[in-house]
Amino acid sequence: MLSIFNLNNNSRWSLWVKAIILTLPMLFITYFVMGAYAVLVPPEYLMEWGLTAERIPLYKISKAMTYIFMNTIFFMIFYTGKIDRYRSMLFIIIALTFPVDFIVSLWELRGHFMVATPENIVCGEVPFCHIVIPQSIIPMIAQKAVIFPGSISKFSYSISFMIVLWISVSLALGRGWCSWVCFYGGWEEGCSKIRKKPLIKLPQKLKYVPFAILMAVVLTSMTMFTATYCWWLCPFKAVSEFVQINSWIGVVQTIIFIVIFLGLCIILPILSKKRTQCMTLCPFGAFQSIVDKVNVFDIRIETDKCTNCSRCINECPVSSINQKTLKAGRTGFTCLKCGKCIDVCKKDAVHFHIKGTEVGKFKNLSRYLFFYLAFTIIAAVGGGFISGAISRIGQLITTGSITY
Amino acid sequence: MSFEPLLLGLSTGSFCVVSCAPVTVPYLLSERMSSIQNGKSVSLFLLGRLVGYLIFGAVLGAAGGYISELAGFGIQWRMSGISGVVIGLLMITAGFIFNFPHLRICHRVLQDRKSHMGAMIFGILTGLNVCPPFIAAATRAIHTESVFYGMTFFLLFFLGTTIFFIPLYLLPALKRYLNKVRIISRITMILLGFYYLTFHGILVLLANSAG
Repeated sequence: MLSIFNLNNNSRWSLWVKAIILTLPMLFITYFVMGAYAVLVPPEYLMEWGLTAERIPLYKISKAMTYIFMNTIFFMIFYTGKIDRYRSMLFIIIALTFPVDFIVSLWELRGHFMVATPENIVCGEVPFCHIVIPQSIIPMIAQKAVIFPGSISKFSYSISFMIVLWISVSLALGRGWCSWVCFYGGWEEGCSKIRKKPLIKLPQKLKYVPFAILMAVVLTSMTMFTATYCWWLCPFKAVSEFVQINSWIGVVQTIIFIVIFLGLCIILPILSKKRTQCMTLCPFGAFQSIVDKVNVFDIRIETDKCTNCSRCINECPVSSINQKTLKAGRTGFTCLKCGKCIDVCKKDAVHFHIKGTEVGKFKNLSRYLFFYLAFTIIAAVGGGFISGAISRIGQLITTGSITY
Repeated sequence: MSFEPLLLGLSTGSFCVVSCAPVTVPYLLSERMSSIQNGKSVSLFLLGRLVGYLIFGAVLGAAGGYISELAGFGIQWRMSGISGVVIGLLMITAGFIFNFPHLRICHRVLQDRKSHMGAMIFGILTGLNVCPPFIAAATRAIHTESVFYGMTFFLLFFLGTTIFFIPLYLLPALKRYLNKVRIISRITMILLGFYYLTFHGILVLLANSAG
């Protein structure tokens, strides 16, 4: 009976049974963390939560659809054994639905579209993004000041919420944030999958640039007492919101973020088949590579099984693996824990691994533990965006208005 | 003159470190240096800062006697803007040389350069660069209306701030374990060079010329 849990037992019956049994706990977990229980809650209770009677049917449908979708993805990962294929599908959908839900909910809150006005900034009504965290740590500790115009606890994108989320995810996944949680990364992930073969190859040394940017923004944020990356370099204002343009500096800032978004999140990923924004710019990713030291999971390579075919080196979306790391039996310090190297290895030599244990000994346990943690988090964070977007699109189709 | 400049330096010195860190930290981390060499570089950097401060002290002390405070500030901001431009260009150039040592011109510069002189030059330039504690000291130095007392004021101010720079002597501990820090710091120098060129150089000069 227990042999059906063995990764090497590939009979169809065995795969079905294994996948269903492994998915059952996730059905229970996602029922709660992504709010799917709301489907069974009577309307009068939902109205007490602030929902109007008109919204309730769409709300329930969106929750149900998201719940089924996410658990199907989880099931397929275990049934097919392919991690990256289904993870990236979910990741891309989260990146596409996040702007729909986020931008529209801010529009409802503030009355204007995709713009943070000076009044919003002064009143601390700017949602706190995770990318601010490395820039704000030293001012928080040394000067007891928050260098971002956000709210400590006022609404769902508050400073306290993001910091708690960041600590939890860092402990659970480390740099796996970049593959399982980041609601922006799906843009480059999706664009990197458009072409079958890359047209250009990026130099390996570029992977140090995000760390240089991290050092630069940490130092300049201390000096200027402001989140310099957010003001000057962040490309994801293109899919969230940007500062109101009322001076030539605003024009320059807007041009910069549009150019970086188009270049690093759309064009270069298409041409190189790499996640170029993560690989060459994002200081938060660099920061998570450092924070990853506290995480128990990494990806290891069984060197006795490895035939040095270099498929993992070529396929890694951030060029984290090279000949040196391959010989050492591990991925590089920029590994996103996306699982792509595991999928492409024909010799089953690459695995998730719990630090401190023997490589290759607890393959299944490492894999299952990592997936349960990663999926719980992605359901809690991404599930909300997906169901929110479905609800809003449904609202647009049925009533002609995307706002509630 | 009481202990005022010394106390001013002690109370604001942490901000001085924060202001100078974008220049000093990447530069010190980008070179392969032993603890003794790092100590020499940090000391020369501080000496350069002292020279910059003394220059400002002399200028402001002299300015206080003959021209208004506003004009005194004008000179100060112009000097700061020019030093920002020079710092930015030097950092970009140094970062480029460190990152592409195989290029003939870079190889030659790396071979011919006097070691540690870069630290002294950056020290002088950061000494000429304005930060809020510096403005507080400058305001008082203008009121001395004397070159000698202006320089003395800034000397004591410098001593007060220098205590906060002591951790820079511990940077080799970081480099010993993380060779990658050197590569990263060399790239950071170029990035921060553009930051200084723009924010502490060109924009300051433009704002000053617009009045």
